[in-house]
Amino acid sequence: MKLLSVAVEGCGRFGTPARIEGFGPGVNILSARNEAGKSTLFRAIRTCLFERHSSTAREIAGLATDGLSLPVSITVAFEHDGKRYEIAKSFLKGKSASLVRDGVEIARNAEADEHVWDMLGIAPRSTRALDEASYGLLWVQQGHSFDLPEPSEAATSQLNAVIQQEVGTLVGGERARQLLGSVKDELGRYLTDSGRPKTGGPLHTAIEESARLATDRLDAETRRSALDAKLDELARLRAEQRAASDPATVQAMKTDLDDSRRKLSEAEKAGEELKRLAADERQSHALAEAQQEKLNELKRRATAIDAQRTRLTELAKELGPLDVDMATVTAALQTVSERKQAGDTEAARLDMEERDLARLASLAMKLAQRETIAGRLAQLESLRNRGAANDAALKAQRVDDAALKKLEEFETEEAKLRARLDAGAPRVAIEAGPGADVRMDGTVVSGTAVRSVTQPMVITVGADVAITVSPPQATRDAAEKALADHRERLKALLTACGAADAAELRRLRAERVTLEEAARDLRAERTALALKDGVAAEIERLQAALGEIDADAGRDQTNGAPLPAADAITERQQQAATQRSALRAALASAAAQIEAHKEALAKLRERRAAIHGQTEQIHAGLSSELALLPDETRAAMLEACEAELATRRDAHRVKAALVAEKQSQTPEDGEIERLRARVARLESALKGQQDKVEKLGVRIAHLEGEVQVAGGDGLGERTATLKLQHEMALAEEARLGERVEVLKLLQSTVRACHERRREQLNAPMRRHLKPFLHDVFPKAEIEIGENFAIAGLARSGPASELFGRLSLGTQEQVAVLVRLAMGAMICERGVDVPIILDDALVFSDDERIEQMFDAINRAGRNQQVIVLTCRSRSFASLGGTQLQIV
Amino acid sequence: MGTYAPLRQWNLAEVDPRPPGFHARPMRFIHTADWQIGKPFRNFADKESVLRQARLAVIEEIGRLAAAEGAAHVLVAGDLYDNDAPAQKTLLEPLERMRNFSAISWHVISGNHDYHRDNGVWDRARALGLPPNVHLHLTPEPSSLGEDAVLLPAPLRRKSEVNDLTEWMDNAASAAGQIRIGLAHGSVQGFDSAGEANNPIAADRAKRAGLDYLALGDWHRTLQIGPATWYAGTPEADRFNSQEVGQVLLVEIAAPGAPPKVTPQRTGAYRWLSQTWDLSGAADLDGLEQRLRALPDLTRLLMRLDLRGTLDLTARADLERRLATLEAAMFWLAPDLAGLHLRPTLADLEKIDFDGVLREAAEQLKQQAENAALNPVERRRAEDALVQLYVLTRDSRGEAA
Repeated sequence: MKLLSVAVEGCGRFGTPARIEGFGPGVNILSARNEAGKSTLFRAIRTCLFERHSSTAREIAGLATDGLSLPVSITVAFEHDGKRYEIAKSFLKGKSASLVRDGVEIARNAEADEHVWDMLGIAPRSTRALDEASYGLLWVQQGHSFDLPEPSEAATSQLNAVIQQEVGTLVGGERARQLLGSVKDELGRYLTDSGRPKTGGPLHTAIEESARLATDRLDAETRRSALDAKLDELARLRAEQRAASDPATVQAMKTDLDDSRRKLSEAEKAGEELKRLAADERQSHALAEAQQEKLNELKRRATAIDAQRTRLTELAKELGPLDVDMATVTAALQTVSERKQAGDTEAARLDMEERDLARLASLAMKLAQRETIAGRLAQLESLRNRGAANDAALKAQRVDDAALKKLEEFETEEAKLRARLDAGAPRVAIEAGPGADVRMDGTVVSGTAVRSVTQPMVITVGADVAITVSPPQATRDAAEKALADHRERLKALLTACGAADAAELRRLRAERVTLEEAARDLRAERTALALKDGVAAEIERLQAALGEIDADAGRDQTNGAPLPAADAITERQQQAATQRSALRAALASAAAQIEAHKEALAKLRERRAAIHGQTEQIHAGLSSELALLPDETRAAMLEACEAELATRRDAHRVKAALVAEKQSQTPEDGEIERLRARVARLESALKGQQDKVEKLGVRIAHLEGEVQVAGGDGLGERTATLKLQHEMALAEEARLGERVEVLKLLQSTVRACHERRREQLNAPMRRHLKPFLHDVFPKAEIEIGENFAIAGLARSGPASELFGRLSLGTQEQVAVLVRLAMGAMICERGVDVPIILDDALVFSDDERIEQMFDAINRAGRNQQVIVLTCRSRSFASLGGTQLQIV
Repeated sequence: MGTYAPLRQWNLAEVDPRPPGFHARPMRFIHTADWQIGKPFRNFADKESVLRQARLAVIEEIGRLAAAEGAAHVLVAGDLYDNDAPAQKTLLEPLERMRNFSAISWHVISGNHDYHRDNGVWDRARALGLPPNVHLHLTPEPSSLGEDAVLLPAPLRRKSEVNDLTEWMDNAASAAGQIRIGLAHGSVQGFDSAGEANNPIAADRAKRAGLDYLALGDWHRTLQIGPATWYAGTPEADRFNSQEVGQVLLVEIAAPGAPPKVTPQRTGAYRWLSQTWDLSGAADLDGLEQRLRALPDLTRLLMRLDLRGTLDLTARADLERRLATLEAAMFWLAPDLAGLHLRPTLADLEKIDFDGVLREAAEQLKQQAENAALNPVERRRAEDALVQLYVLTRDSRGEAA
C-alpha cells in the first residue's frame, strides 16, 4: 500500500476542504508550523482507514471542527497491488462510506469499511475496535516516537509470519504464541495473575460449592446424628416406661407392701408385751439376787469371826520362840565384837612398821642416785660459767657489721677522691729514649711514662735538667681538704671501735664473729639439755636434791644404827604385807558377822512388833463383827434369810418362764427393723415408680415433639443427597484442579521450548535492524527479548546498556530505528505498509539527526516513509518529496 | 420400558371357599425387595428426577403384574425406602401407589436402610395413615396370608444385626396344611451376597424352619440361594455392576411341601449396563461405536463404559467426538478413560507441528508421559497436556477435533 493523497473537511482546524497530494514512493516530508494540522491529518488517515463510518467513538467526535455542524469528511487515496483506490467516509453526520477502485465504486458503507480492512490484512476484533496490525506498529503518532514498539496481536502474527518465511525452517514461534495465548485465556478463567483461584471462575466456584456442601453436609449429618440420638433415647425411655408402668409389677409391689405393714403391726404389739413381761422378770430377779446377797453377807461375817479367833491363837503361840532367838543372837554379837577389837590393835602396829620400812627404802634409793645428780650438777655449772664468760667477751667487743661496712665506705670514698684528683690533674707523658736518664720524682723513666700530676712533680733529665710540674693550686687545695675531712671521719670511727687502724678494726671484727659463734653453740647445748626452767633453776633443783639426800642420810646416822641393807628392808616389807593381809581378812570376817547378827536381831524385833500390832487389829475387827452377828443369834438369822431367798427364787422362775414363752412368740428386733425398712422401701418404690412414669411420660412427649420436628423434613434423605452432592463437588473440584495443572504443564513446557528458540526467532529481526542501527550507532548491537521487546543496546563491547537508562534522544532514535527495521522486514516479504512518523526525533542533535535521516532514507528505498514535522530547518536535509497542505 | 408378553388377567374376586389344607389352586404371590424409594441420583444431573420417578412407577408395574398374574399378595422383603428419615412426600408416594391396587395385599418388612424403631419411618407412616391393603410386619410374629398360608416375617430393628433374625421361624407354629413363607432382609451366611449390612441369615433357614419359600431382600440382583430361597433383586435397577434391568419374582406354590415355581418378571424401565472395552487403535473405534449403537433401547440405557488400552492422538480425539454423540444417544453414558493411555504416533506429532516450538513441546510431553520414573499422576498429566496441545493446535488450524 502506498498513500497517494488525503482530503479532509470539517475535521479539526480544517473546517473548509483541505488536502495533501503528491505523496511519492520513498521518503515524503510534510514540514509545517505548529498547529498547522499535521497531526489532525494523520489522525484523519487512520480514522478513514480503520474506523467504521458509522462509529460515534469519542475520538471521532474529537476530530470534528469546533463550531461547525459539518460531518467529518475524509478521503484517502492509495495504491494497492498496482491499483488505485479511494476511500471516502463521512462520520457523525450523513454517515457514509464509499470505496472506489480505478475510478469505479466497488463498495459502500459497511462493505466499504470491511473491504478496505480485507485489503490491508487487518480484521476487526469487534464492532468498536480493530487491531491495526502493522499499521499500528509503523504509524507513529505524535508523542509516541519514544515508545518502543509493542506489536499488537495481529502485528505480532504478521512479524512472526515474516520471520517464519525468512528463517525458512519451521520455528513455530507464532503458533506457540497463539497457543500460549489460548492456554493463558483458559487459565485466566480459572486463576488470577497471582495463581489463586479466580473469584467467579469455575475452579473458585467449585471450591466454594464444595466448601458450602461440606458445611451443609456436616450440618445435616449433625442433625441426623442428633435425631438418631433422640430416637434411641425415645426407645430407651419407652422401654423404661413400659417396665415402670407394668400393672402386674405395681400390683405385686402393693400386695407386698400390705403384707409387710400387717406383719410389722403384729410384731410391734408382741414386742411391747414382751417388754412388759421382761421388766417384771428383771424386777423379780433383782429381789432374789438382793436376798442372796444378804445371805452371803451373813455367812461371810460368821466365817470371818471364826477366822479371826483362830488367828489370835496362832499369834500368841508365835511370841515365845521369838524371845529365845533374840537372846542367842545378842550373845553371839558380843563375842564377835571383842575379837574384832583385838584385830584392830594388831593392824595399827603393822601400819607403823610398814611406814618405817618405806622410809628406809626411799633413803637407800636416793643415796644410790646421788652420784648421778652430782655429775649432772657439775655439767650444768660448767655450761653456765662458759656462757657467762662468752657474754662478757661479747659485751667488751663492740665491732659489729655496721662498723666494718662504714670502714669499707670510707675506703671507697677515699679511692674516689684520689681518682677524681688524678683525673683533674695535668698529665705528663715522657718518651725516654734508650740510654736517656729521665726521672719522675726520682723514679727512672724507661720508654714511655704517663702520669697525672696531683702533687708537684720534679722531672729530671740527666743531671742538668730539673723540671717541676705542679697542678693548679686551687685544685690541689680542694682535693687535700676533702682528703683531710675524710681522714678525720675515719679516725673517729676507729676510735669508736677501739682500733688503731683499719687492719685492727678488721681483726676485732673477726674476733667478735668468733664469740658470736660460741654463743650460738652454747645456746644449742642448752637447748639439747631440754631444761624446762633454764640452767640456773635446774642447778638449784639439783643442789636442793643433793641437800635433801644428805640431810636424810645424816638423820639416820644420828640414830646410831647403821642403815639396813636394801634387800633386808624389802624382805621385811614383804613379811609385814603378808601379816597385814591375813589380819584384814580376819577383821572383815568379824565385821560381817557383827552385821549379820545385828540384822537378825532387828528382824526378830520387827516380827515381835508386828505380832503385837496384828493382835490388836484382830481384836478391834472381831468386836465390830460380833456386834452385827452375835454368837447367840447366828443360827436363827441364817435360817430366816435362807427361807426368804427360796421364796423369791420361786417367784422369779415363774416370771422368767412367762418371758421365755412370749419371746418364742415374738419376732426378733432385727426382723421388726427389716419389716419397717421394707415397708418404707416399698412405699418409696411405689411413689418413685409413679413419679418416674409421670416424668417419663413428659419426657417422651417432649422427645416425640422434637423427633417430629427434626425428622419431618426428610433429614435422612437430605443427608444422603448432600453426601452425594458433596462427593460430586469434591470430584469436580479435583477435576478442575487437575485441568489447571494440565494447562500449567502445557504452558510451562511450551514457554520453555519457546525460550530455547528465541535466538532463532530473533535472527531476522536482528539482520534487518543491523544496517539501520549502524547508520546511527556504528558496530552497536541490540538485545531483543520476548515479543520483540528491546532489552538493551551494546555500543562498545559485549556489555549492553539497559534501554531505560539511555538518554531520551537515544531512546527515541532506537525506537524509530526498530520500527524502520520492522517495516523493512515486513516490506521485504511483500507487505507494503507505509511508515509514518509524526513529529519524531525531537531530541536529536545535529549530527545524530543527520544519521537518522540516512536511516530513514534507507527505509525509503523500499517503502513509502512519511515524515510530519514542525522543524523545517532541522529537517531540511532529510530530502524526499516535500508535501504541502492545500 | 422394555417390551414383554401381555400379562394374563386374573379375577381376584374368584376366590372360592375351600376346606383347610385343600388348595384348589396354587398360591401365587409376587416377591420383591429393595425399592429404595428416595434414593438420590444427583450424579445423574437433570436425569435425577426421571430415575426417581422410575422407582415409583415400578410399583404400579408390580401392582399391574400381580393383578395380571392372580397374585393376591406382594411381599416386599425390606428396604422399601432408601433411608429411615425420608421427606414426607417421599414417605407417602409409594404408599399411595400401593393404595391404588386395593385388591392386592402388600406385605412389607423393614430392611437395613429403613429399619424400624420408635418414631422412625414406619411409625411416621402409620401416623400418616397406612392404606388398608398395606400391611407392615414390624415384629417377628406369624401373620396369615389368607387361609392357605402363613407369613413369618423377620423385620430389622437395627441397621446392623449380629444375630440371625430368622431363627425364630424354626419354632414358629402354623396350622396344619398351611404354606409357610418366610420374609427377611439380610446376608445369607456362607454366600457373599455383598449385602450392605451385617444381618446374617442361615443358608438352610428354609429347610430348618420348614418354609415352603423364603423371600429375601438386600441383594440387588435376582439370585437363587436354595430350592426355596431367593433374593428378588431390585425391581428398578439403581447401580452399575449389579442387576442390569429390574425384575420381581412371581412365585407359585402348589401345596405345602411342594417345590416353589419361581419366574422372574421384568419390571424395570431402565437398563444399567457396564462394559469394558480394550482399544488399541483407531480401527477399534468403529467397532465400538457400532456395537454400542446396536444396543437396544438406547434412550433407556445407562452405561458405564470402561475403556482401556492405548490410542494415538488422532484416535483419541476421534474417540472424544464419538463419545459425545453416543452420550447424546443414550439416556446416560459414563465413560471411564482412566485406563486408556496415549501413544502418540509420528503422524500425531507432525499434526501438531513438523518442527519448531510446539513440536519440541509435544516431544517433551510425550517423553514425560512415557517416563517410568515419574509417578502415574505426573505421567497422566503429561498425557492430558499433550492431548490439549493437540486439540489446541488443531483448533487453531480450524480442523475438526
